[in-house]
Amino acid sequence: MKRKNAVVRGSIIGMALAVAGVAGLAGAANGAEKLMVYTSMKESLIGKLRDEFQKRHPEIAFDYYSAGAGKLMAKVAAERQSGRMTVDVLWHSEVPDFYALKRDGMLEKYVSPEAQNVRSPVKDPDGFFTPARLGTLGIAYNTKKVAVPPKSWPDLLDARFRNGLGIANPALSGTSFVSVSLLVNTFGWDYIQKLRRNGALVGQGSGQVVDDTASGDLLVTLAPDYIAVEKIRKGANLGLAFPKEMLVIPSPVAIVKGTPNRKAAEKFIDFLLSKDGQTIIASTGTLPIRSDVALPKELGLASTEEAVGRAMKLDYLKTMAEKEAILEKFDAIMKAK
Amino acid sequence: MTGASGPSAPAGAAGNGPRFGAAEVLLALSVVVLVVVVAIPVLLIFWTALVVDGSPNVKEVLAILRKPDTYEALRNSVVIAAGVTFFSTIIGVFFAWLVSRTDLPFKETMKLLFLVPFMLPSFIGALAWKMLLSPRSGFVNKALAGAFGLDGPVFDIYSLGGIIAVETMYLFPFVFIQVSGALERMDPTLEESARISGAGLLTITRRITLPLMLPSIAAGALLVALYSLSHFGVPAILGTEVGIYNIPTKIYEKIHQSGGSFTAIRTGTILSSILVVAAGVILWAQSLLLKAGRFQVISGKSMRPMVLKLRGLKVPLLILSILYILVTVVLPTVTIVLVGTLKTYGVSFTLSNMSLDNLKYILFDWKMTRDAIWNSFYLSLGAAFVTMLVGTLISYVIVKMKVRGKFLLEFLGVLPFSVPGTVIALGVILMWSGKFGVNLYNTAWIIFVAYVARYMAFSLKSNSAALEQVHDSLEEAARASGATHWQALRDIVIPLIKPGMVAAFFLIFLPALRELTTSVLLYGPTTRTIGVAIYTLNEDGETVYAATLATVALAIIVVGQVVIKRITRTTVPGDQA
Amino acid sequence: MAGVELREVSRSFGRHTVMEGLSLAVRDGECFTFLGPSGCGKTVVLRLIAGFERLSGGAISIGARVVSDPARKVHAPPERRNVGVVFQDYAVWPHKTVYENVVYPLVIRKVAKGEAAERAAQTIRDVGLSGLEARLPYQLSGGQQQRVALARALVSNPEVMLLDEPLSNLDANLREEMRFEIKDLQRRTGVTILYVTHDQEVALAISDRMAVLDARGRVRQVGAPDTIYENPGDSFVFSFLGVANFIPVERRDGLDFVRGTAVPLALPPADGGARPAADRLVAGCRPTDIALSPASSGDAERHAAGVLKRAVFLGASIDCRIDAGGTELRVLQDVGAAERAGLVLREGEPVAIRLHDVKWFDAAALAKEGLR
Repeated sequence: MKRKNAVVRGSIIGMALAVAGVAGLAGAANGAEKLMVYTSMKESLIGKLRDEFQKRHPEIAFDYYSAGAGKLMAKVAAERQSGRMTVDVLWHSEVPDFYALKRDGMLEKYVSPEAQNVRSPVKDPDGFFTPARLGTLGIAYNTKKVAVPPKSWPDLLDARFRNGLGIANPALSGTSFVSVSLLVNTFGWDYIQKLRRNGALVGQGSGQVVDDTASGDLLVTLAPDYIAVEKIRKGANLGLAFPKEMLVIPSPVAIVKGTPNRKAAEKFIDFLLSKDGQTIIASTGTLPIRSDVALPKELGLASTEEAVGRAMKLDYLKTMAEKEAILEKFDAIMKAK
Repeated sequence: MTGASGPSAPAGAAGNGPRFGAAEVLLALSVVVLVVVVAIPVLLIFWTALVVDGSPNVKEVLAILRKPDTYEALRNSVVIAAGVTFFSTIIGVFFAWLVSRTDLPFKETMKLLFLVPFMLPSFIGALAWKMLLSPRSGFVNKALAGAFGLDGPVFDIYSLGGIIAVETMYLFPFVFIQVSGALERMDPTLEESARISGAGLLTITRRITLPLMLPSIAAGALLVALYSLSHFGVPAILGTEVGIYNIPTKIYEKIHQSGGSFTAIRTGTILSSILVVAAGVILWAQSLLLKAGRFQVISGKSMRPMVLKLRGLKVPLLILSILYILVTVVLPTVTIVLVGTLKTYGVSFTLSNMSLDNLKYILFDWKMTRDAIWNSFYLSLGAAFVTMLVGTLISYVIVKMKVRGKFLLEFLGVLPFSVPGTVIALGVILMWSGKFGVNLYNTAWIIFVAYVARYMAFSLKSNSAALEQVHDSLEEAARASGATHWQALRDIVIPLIKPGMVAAFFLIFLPALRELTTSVLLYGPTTRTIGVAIYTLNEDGETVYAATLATVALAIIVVGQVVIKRITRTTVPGDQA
Repeated sequence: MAGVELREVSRSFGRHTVMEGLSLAVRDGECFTFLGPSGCGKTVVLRLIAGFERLSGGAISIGARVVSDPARKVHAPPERRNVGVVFQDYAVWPHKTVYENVVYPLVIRKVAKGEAAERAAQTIRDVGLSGLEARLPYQLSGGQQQRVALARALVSNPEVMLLDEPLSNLDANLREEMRFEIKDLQRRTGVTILYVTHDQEVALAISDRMAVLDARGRVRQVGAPDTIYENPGDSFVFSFLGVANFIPVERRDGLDFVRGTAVPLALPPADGGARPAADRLVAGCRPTDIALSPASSGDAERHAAGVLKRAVFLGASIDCRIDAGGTELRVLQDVGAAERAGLVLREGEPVAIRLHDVKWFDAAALAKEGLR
């Protein structure tokens, strides 16, 4: 009978759907060792690291959550409140946060055997966090609209960049927050005010302002090296310029207190700091923290040694204490007409 | 085990007649589900908003509302909702009139085409319009500037006006559906008698047709207002970048950027409370209007309405209608699809810059997007299935059963209709983050629970409509034939309302598949949904991948719609009771 | 088979009482009709017996078994009462074929497959639906759907069949046909039938005994159809069983007049003894119980006189409305008899009236019924 078949078929489909749904919810493979890294590194970087790391440690179910440092920290805070921690390793560029986490006893102490090779303007003598990458920020510009690239920071105050400079929102992006702090520390708030008077805008995350520059929506922006490099490699209309005073931002990595996956976390950090790990990092266009890893020549980036030498200076502990005030002041300046 | 998995299908339990009432069991189950899934979360929101340390604290509420950013969010929400409602009404009424009261060519086709914007998720629309109309780089702006040698941009999509325009494009069908339906059902003799007494067409339209249509127009407009007031996607994509926040995006910012601090959550709950109250008022007004409308427009079968001859305007108006569809649907879709093939954003659309690599990458190589697609798939599947069953159960109790305490359920059953997605998300966070013994934070279950609450209204609507068609005597006849209550449900009621249940399933499955408003507040590291993935990709500057994933989402939606059409067409005529 | 006994049954919905203190005994194998105006709660009685509703008080037994007795917390669910129910709207399941509809009660009762098929086929044959087994209900006419409902109720050999206005949605011809078939089925199977209707014709035709209920759900009279028709217990029953003329009567000087007029009332000679002694009475008679004669005939002064207001030719008879001193009477005049009597009915002409059968009612009680 035809109708009966329809009913039977309907029921089977229904059951199958239900099973699929529940199976999905119940999902999440239960590997013996698990590792969840919260990082502000984009897929183009963390994805490659993941692939290599998995090759070496197939026993670890590795996963990561990639978002701006602001979001990561909000997520971590929310997890602390709810008492259900998902994060095992934290790796992003908002250095002050690591000082704050260390102060609050949120981090596990771990000194990797590889740590002795690390070159960085920032180091934690107590071993609660270790810089795993030296991010630099250059000035990315749209090659179609900007004929002569800016060479120095005061160049950005030029009328030809009027209403064309974008800065990622420091409340969302760690690199942006540290960049702003570095600029303020070096050139004073006056410089930020002048940028605003020249029509500087606040964007969203640090990736989006780069895309907006590539599309021509912005003319210039502060751009993390590897994000700009990836897009340039794909053919975007982008150029990247580095003024003499460099924005060099180490991205520390740390193990979150109380993680049940400490072993895996240590393995990951060791890998990250190893020559192999750093070679991958360098290949994406960001600076390694080891001087024994070479940068691909064609990128025209400064070497690790040189960058550390040219880097603007910052008192991270002080910056940590003043974080709220800095964000508010920046917000007030950028909202002013 | 969690609350959501508790209720099991009533149909499955075909035991030997329960000695003490199936009725009571069903009622209790229904009440428990609605209380746990909807009522408590909403109560928690009000409680958190108004009560500090066990005593009501209105002063602090006012202080938060007076803060410039919360106040601004409120104002923007109202401005956006008002603008969207206004323009949707004008556009919806105009096109409804055009397809039902004029001799516009291809009317039936046009009528279907005007419903297409409904299928397009508005945040994907916003993404497309951002590409088309962002001040310097928008394709349209660039083209216009090039054509006319202009210096500045012509349009700036990052503005209240831009948000209103984009929301209008995708929300006007709410009005269109209501009004064209009413125009078709309207008794033409009302207009004819006016015409016989000598009134001109304009007078008739103004004096007779419009007043008769008012309830339907208003009902559609209120739906738009309700939706826009609590809409996240479009303002999030077009507003936050330039500091324009509405209530849902402000709540999102608070929850996502302030480290989950209690003040942030409280601000969110206060804003949510306002949303709930506003939604309640809107729904109440709507129910009054619909009641009034029912008496005015009734007529039996569809009759031949008065048709205005467009004469010379026929072709221009047809072109206008087609242009509208092209601009609001085809152009954004094509933009999304094309951008999704680019190597990187900002390069020109030449074949050498375009490939299917992105598609391959997000479908097969990138775990995040792969996860997102799978998450959305099983979450909407599970939510649709469970919500359908629970909705059937609750509707059954409300529509069919005579049992004490039913009024409680009837009251609770109204709740899902008036709780916006943002509010549900916040309530679910408050309820399921371990404070009450169950911690679903960062798991897919928390999104699942929110979906069940969010889409319960759809299920209740579809199921009770189906149940009202099944006369009580059909079930009683089974009882008299010796069937127990459960057997009667299994053999008679369920088979008869199956079309309604299937409809409910798809009414939930498809929107859930592209859901953003709720999941954006609830997603964890491994539980991004398609909507969240598109949104965060865009936020992270991965514009091209956002477009590719949006293309995938659009493809899934189109396939889904086709499947629904298929299924509803093959329904046996006898199945409709 | 079994009888049904209702003892002091009452049912109220909130404050609204539908039924109070109803007591009745339906005999085994009887066709018993509840006749009453719509809204009198007669359907509620059926639903109470079927178990769809719970009693507020009293008790119901089917056969020797008490199925409802709230005082003792007894309430057998419908499926355990072994009753067959035929609903007013047929309630044929639209998603099942004729065969599936009919066999369902057997399937539910776990009757062996072969036997179930045989019994279902037999019952389908009994109700005259052979050949339509595979049809879906939407492919059937109203009468055929009604038969499906009957077959479904009969197939499990219930002790009692409950029929709720099963014929009211059928057209006149079908109604008559089904009426006979139901009666016939009952004779053949011997099942006890409880039949609810507001149609006195059906009730009179089908019942072994019947109960007449008034608008408030009280039983006015119980008995065999002919007994009730012939000897209605009160004016309500009289008026409910057919078109009724009520003539207010006044006795003056030993003669009966239409009240307030000088129109004398001619009573059947045999009736002298039955007439109560009271002065203010109402005479009830059916349209067929009145004979008309030309006003000019010899005995005119002995008969009441009236004026013919309207005459509608119905074929074998003429439906006349006559104004007798302000009281309108309906008279069904046999055409042949009128011709024989030389009666020419012209509207506006006077006629003489003679009553051959009269039921006497108390004027005060009639007023209370709201009948006049």
